[in-house]
Amino acid sequence: MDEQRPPRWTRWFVWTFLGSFLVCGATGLDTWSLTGFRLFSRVRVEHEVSREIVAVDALGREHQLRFARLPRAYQGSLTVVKAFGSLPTSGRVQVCQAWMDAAIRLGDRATSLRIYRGDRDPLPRKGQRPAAPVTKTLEYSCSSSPATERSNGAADATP
Amino acid sequence: MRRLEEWMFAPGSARRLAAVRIGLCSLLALRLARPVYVGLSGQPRALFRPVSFMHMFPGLPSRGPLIVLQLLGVMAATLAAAGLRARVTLPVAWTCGLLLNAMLSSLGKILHNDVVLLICLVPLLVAPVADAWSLDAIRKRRTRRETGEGRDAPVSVAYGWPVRVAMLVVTGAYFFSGLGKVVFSGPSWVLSGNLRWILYTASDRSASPNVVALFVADRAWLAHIVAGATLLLELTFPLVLWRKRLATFYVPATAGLHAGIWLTMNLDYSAWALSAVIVFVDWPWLVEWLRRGRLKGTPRATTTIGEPATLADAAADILYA
Repeated sequence: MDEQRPPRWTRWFVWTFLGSFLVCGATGLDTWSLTGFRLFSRVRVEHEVSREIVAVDALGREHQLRFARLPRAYQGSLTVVKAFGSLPTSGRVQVCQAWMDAAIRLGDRATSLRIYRGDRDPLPRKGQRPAAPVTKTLEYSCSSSPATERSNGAADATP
Repeated sequence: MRRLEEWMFAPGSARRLAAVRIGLCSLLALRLARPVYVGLSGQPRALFRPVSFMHMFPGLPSRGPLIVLQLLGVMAATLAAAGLRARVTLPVAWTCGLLLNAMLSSLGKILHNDVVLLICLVPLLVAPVADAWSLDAIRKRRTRRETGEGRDAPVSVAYGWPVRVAMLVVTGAYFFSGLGKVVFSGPSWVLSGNLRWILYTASDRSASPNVVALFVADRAWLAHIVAGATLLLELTFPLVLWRKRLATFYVPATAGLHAGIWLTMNLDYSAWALSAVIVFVDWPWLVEWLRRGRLKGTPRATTTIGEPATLADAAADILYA
């Protein structure tokens, strides 16, 4: 052994670091990369709620926006859509425009977007899928212009 | 507190710390080499959801800076694993990893996949990680031979605490994951149909049904057992710090937990599981054991614990010094 006690700065560093780690973990505080480690911490209920974003072309036909086919930069969109209703009007228009651009990137000639809320119970089941189909409710319809934005049941936008 | 401080700052082996450096830096290099980061370029500003220090940036960078950051990170992490100028290369690699993963978490959801790896590396940033099993150490030895100086002592206080802090980080990550479930959900995390609904949703949202997830979800009793075992495993993980033999159960069990999450929900927590293995395995002992090819009579250069008497003792010694 060449040393018996660590230098003061080492002790200070260790306890400050571990203290911060402990505070974030114990309080659920997310100051990335120190986080509250809230992994599946909320109880899920039997009712499944999902969101679907569809592009609408000039003929009124709907095309589902498949984010999995887009670069990683777009793949948080299904999280963003959950809070879509709480965004200010200008924010909603910007997000809407971003998704319309994404639709065009995928080859869809989008003139507007629709956001549907999907409701379904996983039980009973028919084979490996739920027996009941998804009940779709139109939540928002938007285009790149604020004048054309419509909402339906905005209170449901942030479940 | 005094006992904790004594444990934390007890002498440790330069080789054990070097092994943790090699493992964590190699893992970081592999993680940073994934193509996901380049896909972050071209994100519209409206979709940018910054976390923490990412609020300082107006949005995600374009392709060029992302590629530079990724290449720099992979190169620096590889050099740090090899122990070349580790005082510089390790912090550079860590900073690249921190930035790139903060960008991934700025898409709307905080990602924990690489968090444990990054936090485990924090104590290594300021520690003498390259005094053994490194190119820096080889270079130093050559210089000493030329000047006629003696060798470094293989055991020191400076080598012990970084590994123990990393152990506490892994332990804390599991414990706080369990604590979050207790605080936010209580007993219903286990007693309600919670896990069944998680698994049904995971399967129903994927293009093809997940047979493993459905096997558990279709059997309520099994879902309760799996949920209870998960919570128990997370909450009691800190016991490994108290009884080293328990690491032979907990480390493989948590690896199994992550494998189960991957099989049922297709979520990749391999960096978390591998960080736990890298930090808790006594690699110098394992190397020595493999070199000699037998259990009995294996000297322990790194700890004060005696020779392993049985296979179980040997396994306990390999996991966690």
